[in-house]
Amino acid sequence: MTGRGRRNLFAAALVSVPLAWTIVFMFAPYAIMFTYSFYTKKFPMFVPDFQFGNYLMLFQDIQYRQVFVRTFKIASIVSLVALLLAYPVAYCLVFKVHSRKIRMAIYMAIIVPLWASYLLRAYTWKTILGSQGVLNSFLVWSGILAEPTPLFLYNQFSMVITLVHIFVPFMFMPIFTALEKIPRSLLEASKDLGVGRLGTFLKVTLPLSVPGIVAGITFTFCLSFGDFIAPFLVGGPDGFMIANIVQSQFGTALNWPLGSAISIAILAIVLLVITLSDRLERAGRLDLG
Amino acid sequence: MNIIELRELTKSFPGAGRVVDNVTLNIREGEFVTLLGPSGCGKTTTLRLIAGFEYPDRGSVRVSGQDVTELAPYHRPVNTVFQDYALFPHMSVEQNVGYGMWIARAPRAEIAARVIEALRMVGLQEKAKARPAELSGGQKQRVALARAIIRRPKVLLLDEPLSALDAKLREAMQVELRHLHQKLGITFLLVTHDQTEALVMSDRILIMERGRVVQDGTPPDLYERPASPYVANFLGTSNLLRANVAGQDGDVLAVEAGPIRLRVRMSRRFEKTEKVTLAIRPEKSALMTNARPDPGRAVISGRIIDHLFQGDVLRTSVDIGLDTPFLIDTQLASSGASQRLPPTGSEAQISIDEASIIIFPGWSGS
Repeated sequence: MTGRGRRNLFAAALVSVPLAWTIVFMFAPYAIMFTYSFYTKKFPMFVPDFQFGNYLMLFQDIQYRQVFVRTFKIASIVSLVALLLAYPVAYCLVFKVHSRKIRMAIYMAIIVPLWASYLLRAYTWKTILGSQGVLNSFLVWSGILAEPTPLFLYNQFSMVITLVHIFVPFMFMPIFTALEKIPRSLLEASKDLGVGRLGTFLKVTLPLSVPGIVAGITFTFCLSFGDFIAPFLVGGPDGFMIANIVQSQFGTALNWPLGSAISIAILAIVLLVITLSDRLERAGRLDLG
Repeated sequence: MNIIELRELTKSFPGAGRVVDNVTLNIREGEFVTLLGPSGCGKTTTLRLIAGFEYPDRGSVRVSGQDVTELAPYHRPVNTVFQDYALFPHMSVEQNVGYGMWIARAPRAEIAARVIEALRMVGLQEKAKARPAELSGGQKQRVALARAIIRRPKVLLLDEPLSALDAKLREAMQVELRHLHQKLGITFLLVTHDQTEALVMSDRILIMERGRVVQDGTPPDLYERPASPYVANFLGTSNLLRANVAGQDGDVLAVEAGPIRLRVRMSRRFEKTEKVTLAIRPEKSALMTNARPDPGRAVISGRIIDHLFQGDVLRTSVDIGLDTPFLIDTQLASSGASQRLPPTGSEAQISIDEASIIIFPGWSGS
């Protein structure tokens, strides 16, 4: 065997394990799901078929369309709120905290909740917002409310709060990185050329941090869009999201074909968002050297 | 008229101590002045204090009569060329150059005209639409210059602008900067650690050491009459010999450094046995070829350590019985000069132009 042949064989051996993993645990399940999405439901289970009824139902049945729109709305609001929270924090951390040690300490403090159980963090909000929760107890104790209100929990408001809390580090990290990469001399150059703080921010800092914003929105949006635990724990009836529908189709409703079709639709939306953000990021990618 | 006046300017950084220490200086309108010194001597911080990127602990900065100490950088009538150019990567060359005017909402036509004028001034008009990433180092440098001069600042501050360029380009840019200075007629304040750059370009050089200005003068002034051994060795190279005064007879001073005895013309009075430092330029010394020295030249003897060929100059190290070897520069004007040199290890006589020997009181480095 020639040297090149041996190297090729070695490369193939190296690639084969992850490739096999991806095929068995990703492409195969997606293929199965894709196939199921054309099947027909027939009591008590479903039969093989090739028809677009399941997909049509997504557009025709107002109930599903509503949930899609709501999920889109919630994911958008969560991304926006997370952006408004994360950007100023990242900005202050990068430009106003001069001690490297303190900056890294705060950075870690923001990131570290990611290591706490997702379920725990979602559940925490139940104990804060519930009618016997921390917030209500405080409001009643301080006399602002006469009796506990159920308004805080089991609605879209509580869901947005929970999702923002869970996903805000994913917004913060890429923005922090993008801001940290901006050479200080660029900001000094802007001021040197007669441009004040606001102008410098709008014309130099903000445009150069766009890749971080795009990456952050992509993470937060896609993660919120497919979330089903937060709606389940704090969402209530009007907080039902599309992932909960999928869950019920595969569970109690026993309509795998419809569940598959919805899953494929979610996958398509998420892939679309990722592709768009990738395009945006490429267009905005700059040589900061 | 003084365009820049610094008064008792002082700035400390935690961990670095006083980086700029009580600096007082004036720069006249239209001058090309260089702050020269090794890294860490405070020259860049002085520049940043003038630009407004640092706030002084004490002292004041005046630009054309106006106290700007409290003003933000964007309110000061100075512009800076940054060491790393600091071009905005998300803007084209013309957007970079017109940036300040554009934000100040100047009329479009005026911006366009001034951008073209500034780019023409630095010879880069054909690159107006390019992005900084597509430019070479020298071209980026020119864009940074054009951007800094477009609004005709009272003072142009240049922070080691040529340090990232290769040797050939650096030499060419030195000449161009000099021409640009003449064409624009505005004051240039350059910061550099490169003595050649300072000597070539400046009307006046301020040498800084540990946060203080230690000497101020024209390039020939500083080169021929350095005020301290530090300056003598920083501007060009000097052989620094620690010596003691052996005696003084009229204006002839006898000094001895180890085994070496020299007689130097000197009007200034010294005490007997006083410690002094002699500064002798390598190019004012020569390996003796004839047996008897010419009048006005002192002679010391030693053993040749090696010859370093430097192109136009041959640098010879000679062991003269002191801690450091004595350096001699020989101009290689006539071809074949290097063949006639005495071989390594041989005894040699060095003749020194007596008039060029400079004597400083005290021992350098102690």
